[in-house]
Amino acid sequence: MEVSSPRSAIRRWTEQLKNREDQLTVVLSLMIGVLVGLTVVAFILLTGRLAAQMYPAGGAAWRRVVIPVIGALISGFLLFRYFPDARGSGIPQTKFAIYINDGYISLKTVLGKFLCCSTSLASGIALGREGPSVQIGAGIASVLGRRFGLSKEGVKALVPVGCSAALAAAFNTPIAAVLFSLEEILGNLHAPVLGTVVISSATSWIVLHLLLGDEPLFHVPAYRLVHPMEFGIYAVLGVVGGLGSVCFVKLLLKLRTLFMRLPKSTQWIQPVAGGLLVGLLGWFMPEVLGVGYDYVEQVLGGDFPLKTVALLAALKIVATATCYSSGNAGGIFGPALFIGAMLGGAVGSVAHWMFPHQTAGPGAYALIGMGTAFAGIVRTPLTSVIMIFELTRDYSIIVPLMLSNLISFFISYRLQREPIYEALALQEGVYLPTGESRRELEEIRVGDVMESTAAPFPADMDVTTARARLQEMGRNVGLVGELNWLSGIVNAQQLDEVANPSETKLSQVVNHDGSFPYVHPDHPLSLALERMGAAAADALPVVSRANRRRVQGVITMADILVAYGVKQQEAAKKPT
Amino acid sequence: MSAAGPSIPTNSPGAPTLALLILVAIITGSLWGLDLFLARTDREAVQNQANGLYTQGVLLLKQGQPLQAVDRLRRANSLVRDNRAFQLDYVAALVAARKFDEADASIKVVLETEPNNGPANLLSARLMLQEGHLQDAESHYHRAIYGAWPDTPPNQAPAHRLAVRLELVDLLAARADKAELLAELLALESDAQGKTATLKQIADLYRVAGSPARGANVYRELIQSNPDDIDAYAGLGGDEMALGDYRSALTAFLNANRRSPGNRMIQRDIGLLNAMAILDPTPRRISSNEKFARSNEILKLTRDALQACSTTDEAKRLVEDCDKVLAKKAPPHVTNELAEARLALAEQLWQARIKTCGPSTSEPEHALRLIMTKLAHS
Repeated sequence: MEVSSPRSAIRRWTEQLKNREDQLTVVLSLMIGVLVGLTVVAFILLTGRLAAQMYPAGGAAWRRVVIPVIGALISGFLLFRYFPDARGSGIPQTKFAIYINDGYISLKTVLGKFLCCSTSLASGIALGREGPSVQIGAGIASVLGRRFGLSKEGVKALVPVGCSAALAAAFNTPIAAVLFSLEEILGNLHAPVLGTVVISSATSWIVLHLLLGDEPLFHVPAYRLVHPMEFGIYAVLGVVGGLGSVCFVKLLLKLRTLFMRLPKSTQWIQPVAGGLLVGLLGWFMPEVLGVGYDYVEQVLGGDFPLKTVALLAALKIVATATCYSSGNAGGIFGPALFIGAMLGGAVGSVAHWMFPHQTAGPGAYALIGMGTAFAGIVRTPLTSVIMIFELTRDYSIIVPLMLSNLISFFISYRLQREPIYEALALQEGVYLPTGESRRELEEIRVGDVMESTAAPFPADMDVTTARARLQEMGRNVGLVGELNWLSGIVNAQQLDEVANPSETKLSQVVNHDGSFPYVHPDHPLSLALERMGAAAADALPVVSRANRRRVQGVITMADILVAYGVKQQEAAKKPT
Repeated sequence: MSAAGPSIPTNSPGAPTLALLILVAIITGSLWGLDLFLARTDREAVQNQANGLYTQGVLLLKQGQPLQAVDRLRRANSLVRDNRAFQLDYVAALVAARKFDEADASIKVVLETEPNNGPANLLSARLMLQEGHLQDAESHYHRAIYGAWPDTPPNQAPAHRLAVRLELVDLLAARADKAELLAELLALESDAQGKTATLKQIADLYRVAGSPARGANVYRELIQSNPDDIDAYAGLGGDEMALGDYRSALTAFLNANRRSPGNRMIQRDIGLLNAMAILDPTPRRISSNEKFARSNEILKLTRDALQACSTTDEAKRLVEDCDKVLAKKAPPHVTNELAEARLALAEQLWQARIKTCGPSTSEPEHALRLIMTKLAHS
């Protein structure tokens, strides 16, 4: 018996995998989880260490002005000269990769993102590390997918896998990472990549735990609902969070428009504007610098003066909007949490001052505030609820969190229709599919547009008559049987092939085994289109879910085109 | 940011996959090594920073600046989250800064993971005490006494438990919860064998717990082991006085005075006992004449005490009755019954004085107060 060497066994295994892309994708998901987890941990630790070196305890105040400027200058030059695709948060760029570039993100972009973001974040630029981590993760997934010879579709499917691995490691939130990849990156909670996204998220989380241990990002005291009237205050917090989110998004978009109007040759120096502003603000309030998670934790602990948190919320909105719009590398997740915590802390302080015995401490409101800002700015309400829960591991806050998040999301949606990432893409001239537009299309169901007056041909009708009736209706498919018992369908080609049409009954032509194509009334139109294409039919029977033989209507290609606005109603009625 | 991105290279199905796997393994290994190095460096730096903050915080707490201490200790805790000493001192600082809500929430987190932790329960007890939850405080004191002291060397744990029990005993004494206090003192006495200072404290508290006889026994044992212990003699004198044995009390105070002649407190007690010795009508050795004279003196003193503080009709009537009795000439042969009648009247006057003016606290009436208490119990 031939004994194969380990090397040839691996080669055989990899060759087998190449031929089975599904299996390769699963193996790659594990690999991506490990690699992205390790990279993101390195990114976070390196950024943190560099920041500690830049701002030693008790360091002089001038450092807070000079270092952000220098950091912005260096990263601005690197971004302009070497890594133009590493600019910004990383989320819109990842979506571009999926929707425009077939999942392509270059290794150079990954390295550039790592380098530029480490520089700018360590220097105190008021942006977050999670968005860049997502692009780094997506980039690693894309590079691996290509190197392992996956098809374009396969590479594209790996991008959200990298995103979830990155977010799981960056935030220590494996469930929220999965949800974010589906809800924001893909815009579809039922996406078929769910399995691989979960695998990579879990793997990356395990790596994080092996390296850094089991610690949530924020430690918060156990808060509880003190009095039912607190729901009212949480609702107010939702309103404040929503308004704060809208202010932030509008300011960021407005400033970005202004910066984009400047000559392209100034792009390398534009980030300095953000660095200088954050430096000047940091001179007076050092908490504005960087991500500011340390201060968020303090606020969550409930210890802060009202004036400080209110001021910090306003300053962080201005600082982050300027830093981002001027072209610095960094994300808005972290700042969103910071802004939310400050807004929540301010609302909580006022509430606790007014109703000391009916309300929890201000820290509880800061906690919920984080979720409201996240839901209002990033517009992923489900992710934000789960994320805050995972960040704090405090189950008692879930219900108030859901309430405030929903209100914040609603207000943000009403006052700023375009979600931030889609709006940013639009400024680049890219039209990304929004979750809303996808939902709108999915919302049109077969039952909404079908003709409910379907009249199947009787089974004893001869083929000649049936052919003539089809021509009258302008279709190539006809239903055979009765309304309560559909025998099957026949198409024009079938009828044309019958040798003696006037003598032949439809019952002799139709296939009685029930294997005809059909749709149900609650199916989306897209599925009807797919099935029509597969059956080469321009009409399908719409049948009951309780009994596939019972006809509820018929849907035609013309009906679908009218529903999508491609064809006029009158034209649709005319036979083609 | 270019949305369209660079030209997309085509995939290469014939790529050297084995080499790629090796490359990925090498990158993974390198990243793992880098992460371990960074994590260790980070942990060390963070630990050093936290230690510095902790030291500052503890110092500030000792210097009586709890607010600044809270700030430092909070930062130390947010940097290193699993250090029990950091957590407990943070809670202590919060209590000192009167941030009870936060302290409560923080100590609960510790107790949830270690409900049997002695120091955490002690802190919780102190917090409950500050918040006025005496029952809860007592319960946490007991958990601290019988709980684990994990970060304490084994030989020091009993000393900590003893200190906690003393703290609990002080609480019970302040609440005048005599039954519970006595129970704790009995347990404490057996734990404190050989610890003279603690035993003296216990003996004093026995008096508060309404058991001066036990206190006197403790002092006697202390005197036996150290016959020159001035405090023990003074304490014994106090307990004997509480028991109403003024002669033994005087003997104890005189012993103390002999060993510490300049002690004013002892001299004051001796003065008091001398005054009582002149006034006390109960000793059997005194003659009927002497008893009658002392009873007369007590009657005069109680009349003066009532007159000094009350002008009610009832008081006036009693004072008039008293004056009539005192104005009567004493018979040539006085009997004990005559003395007892005067003492009974003095008792009425004293009760009227307490009723209208409250318990006497004045120093000049101290001897009279003790005599009247003794008479009431005899």
